Amino acid sequence: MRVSGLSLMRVGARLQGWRTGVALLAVAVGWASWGATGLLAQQWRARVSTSVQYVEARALVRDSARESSAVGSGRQRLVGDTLVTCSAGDSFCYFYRAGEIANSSPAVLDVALNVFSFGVEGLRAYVSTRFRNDFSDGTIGNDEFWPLGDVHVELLAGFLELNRQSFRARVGRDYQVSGLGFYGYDGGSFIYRFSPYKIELEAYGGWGLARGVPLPITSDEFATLGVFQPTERDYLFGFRSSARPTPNTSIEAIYQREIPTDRSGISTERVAIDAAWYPRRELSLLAHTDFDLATGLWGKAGLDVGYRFHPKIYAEGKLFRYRPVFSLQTIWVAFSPVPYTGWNLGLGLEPRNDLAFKVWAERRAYGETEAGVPFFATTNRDWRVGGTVGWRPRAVGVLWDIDGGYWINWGFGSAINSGDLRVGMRPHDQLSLGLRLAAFKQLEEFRVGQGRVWGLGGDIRWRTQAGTVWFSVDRYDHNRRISDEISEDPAQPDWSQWRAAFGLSYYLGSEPGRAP
Amino acid sequence: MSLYRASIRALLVVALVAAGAEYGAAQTGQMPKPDFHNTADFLQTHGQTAKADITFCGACHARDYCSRCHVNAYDVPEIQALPSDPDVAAYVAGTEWPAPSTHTPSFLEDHRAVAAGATQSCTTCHVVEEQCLICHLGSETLERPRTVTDVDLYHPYNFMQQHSASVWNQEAECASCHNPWVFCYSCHQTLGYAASDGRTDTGFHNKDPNFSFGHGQAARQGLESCAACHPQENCLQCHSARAGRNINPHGPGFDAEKLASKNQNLCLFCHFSVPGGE
Repeated sequence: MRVSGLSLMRVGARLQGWRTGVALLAVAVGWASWGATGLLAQQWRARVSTSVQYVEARALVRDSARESSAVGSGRQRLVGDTLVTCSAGDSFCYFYRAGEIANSSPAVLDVALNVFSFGVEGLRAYVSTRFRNDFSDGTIGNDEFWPLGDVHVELLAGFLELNRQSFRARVGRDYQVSGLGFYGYDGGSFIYRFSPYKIELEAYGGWGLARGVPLPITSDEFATLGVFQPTERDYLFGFRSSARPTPNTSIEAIYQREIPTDRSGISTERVAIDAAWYPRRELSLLAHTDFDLATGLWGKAGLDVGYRFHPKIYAEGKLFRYRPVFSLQTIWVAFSPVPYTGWNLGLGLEPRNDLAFKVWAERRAYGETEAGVPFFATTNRDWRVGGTVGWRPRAVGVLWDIDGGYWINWGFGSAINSGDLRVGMRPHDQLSLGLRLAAFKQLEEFRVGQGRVWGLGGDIRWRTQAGTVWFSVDRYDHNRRISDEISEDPAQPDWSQWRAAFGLSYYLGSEPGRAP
Repeated sequence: MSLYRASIRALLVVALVAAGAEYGAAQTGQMPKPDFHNTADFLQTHGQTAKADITFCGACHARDYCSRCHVNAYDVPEIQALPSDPDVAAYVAGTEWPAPSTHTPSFLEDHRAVAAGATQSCTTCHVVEEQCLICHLGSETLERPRTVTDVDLYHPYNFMQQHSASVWNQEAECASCHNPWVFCYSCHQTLGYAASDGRTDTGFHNKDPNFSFGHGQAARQGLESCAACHPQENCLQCHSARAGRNINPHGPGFDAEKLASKNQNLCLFCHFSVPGGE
C-alpha cells in the first residue's frame, strides 16, 4: 500500500510552503471580489470550482550493473531477470528501474464571474481566473510534476462585452475556438450579425498567447525552450465568417495569422472550413478541412455521415485525414511530418430507452515517410476496435448508472488492450455513488509490457442547492508477472499507485428559476 | 510544530471554501415571488415589463429561465441581455428537455460547425465561455466522477493512465487544447520519461536498441509524440548543417523556398545562411 500515514504527513508538511500563502491569498482575493462586484453592478453571477487531487507516479531512474555480471552477448543481456544494455568497452551495463514514489497534490480554484447590465443593454464583464498550487513531492527534485504547478494565478479570459442583436464587441483577454484549435489573445473582437441567413462576420486580433494555454510564449514557463523561445510575443489576428442559411445547415470559414511583433516573419498562417448539414432529422453530414498557408500543406480533413435508420439503431461512417501543425518558430516543420488517412465505422443500438450499445472499428494508414530505415522499421498501419454499453435501469427503488467500455489498438505507436466498468447508483436525486473497475495492458511505448494494470475505485457526488461536491479515489495495481518463472519483472517499472480527488463547485448570485 | 502549522493552514483553506459554499447556498435559496407575478394576465403581459426594463427581471432570472418557453430566445435582445445559467446544459442532457436534433451521438466530437454557425442558439442552453474553456483549455481534474448529465468532460474515465496510445495515434489534435510544452514535456521530463543519456531501448521506443539509428519513419509518423519528450536541441545534435552529423531531416512535402519566404529565422536554426537565399 503506497499511501502510508507517513506519506500523508509529508503532504501535510508541504502545506507550509510559501505557495500555500499564495493559494490562500488567491482564495481570499477571489472571495472578497465577489462582494465588491455586488456593489458595482446591478447583477452578477459567479461560478466557483475547486478541486484538490492526490496523484502518485514513479519516475524512471537509470541504474547500472557490472558488465561481468551480465549473461549473454550483444548489446542486450540479462543480469538476473533484468534486461540491461551493454556497450563495448564499458565495464557497466545500464538499465532503467522505477524510482521512489513521487506524489503531487495539485489544488485548483477556478472562479468565473459575470457582471452585467451596468444600466446598458447587453453590456457585460466576464472574468475567468484559475488559481493553482502544486504541493509536489520533493523527492523528484522540482515542482513541475504537475503541469504549471508553479503558475499560481492565470487569467483564462477577461473581457468587457457589448452584445446587441446585430453585433457583439469585446475588449480584453479573449479566445477563439475553431477548426484551427484554441487560441487566446489580448485584444479585441467585433462580430457583425446579418440576420436573414444568420450570417456572422468577425474580425479579431491582439497580442497572441501560446496555443492551448493562457500564457504568453515569452513567459518563464517556456524558458526551457532555450534558444527556441521567442523573445517577443506574436501578433495574432484573423477573420471568421459563419452562416446558417437554413435551420439545419451551418458553415464556417476562418483565416488566422500569427506574426512576431518585430515582423521578422510568419509564425503560423492557416485557414479552415467547417460545414454541417442535417437534411433530415435522421441524417447528418459533416465536413471539415484546414490548410497551412505557411507550409503549403493540407492539415486535417474529415467527412462524417450519421444515419439513424431505425429509432433504435444508428450508424456512423467517417473518413479522415490528419497532419500535425507546428509553428514556424520551431524546427519541427522542417522535419516533414507525414499525414495519415483513415476510416471509422460505428453502429449504435438502443433497444430500450435505458439501454445503449455501440461498437466501432477504425483504421489508419500513414503516408510515405521516405525515411529509409536500415536498422529499425515500424508499421505504417493502425487498427482499433472498441465498444461501449450504457444501462440506466431503475431497480429496488434506485436509479442505476452502468457504463462499460473496451478497446483494443494495435499498429503504429502504442498497442493497448483496455476495459473499464462503472456501476453507479443514485439513491437520491442529488446523490450518486459509483464503483469502478479498470484493467489494461499496454505494450511497446508504455512498458506495462506483458503484465497488467488493475484499477479499482469509487466515487461519490452530491449535488446540493448551492452546487456540487464530489470525491473519488482509485487504486492501480501493476501485476508484473510475465511468465511462470518470473512473477515480477524487475525490468518493468512498477506502475502501482493511488490517485484521489476532491472537488467542490458552487454558484453565487440569485436565480430562483434554477433547480439544483 | 510544522505539522501543527500545516494543519492550521489546511483547516483555514477548508473553512474558506466551506464559508463560500454556505454563502452560495444563501444566495441561491428561495426568495418570495413579487406580488405582480400573481396577476391573472401576468403571462400575457410580462413581455412588456421585460422590454421596459430587462434589468428588473434580471434581478432574479437568468436567460435560460426565459428560453424554457421562448424558443426564439436567441433572437430576443432583452433575453440575450441576461446572463446564462451554467447548469442548464446539464438539465437538458437529462430528461427535462429534449436535445435538439443536431445533437447526434457523436456531437461532442462533431459540434464545431454547428457551434460556429449558430453561436447564439448555443447560448440558449450552454454557458459558452465556461463550457468551452473546461474542455478546450485542458481541464486539470483527472477523475471527476461523472453521471449521465455531465456534459463538461471530454476524456473518458481512466484516460490519463492510458493516454499514450491516444497520443501516439493522434486520435485527436491534443495540442489544440493542451500546449505540449507545459502539459506534456514538463511532466515527462520530471519523471524521467524523456531521459536522453544514451540508452535507446526504453519502452517508449519499442524496446529496440537500434531505435535511434532508424527512427526516421516513427518520427515522421508521430512527430508530436517525439516533441512531447524531446527538446529541439536533441534533434539538432545530428540534424543540423551547423554542427553534429549534418543529417538532413527534410522529407516529403518540404518546400525550402516557401518556408524561407515565410520565416527565414527558421532556416537559420540549422543553417549558417538561408539555403538558396542571398
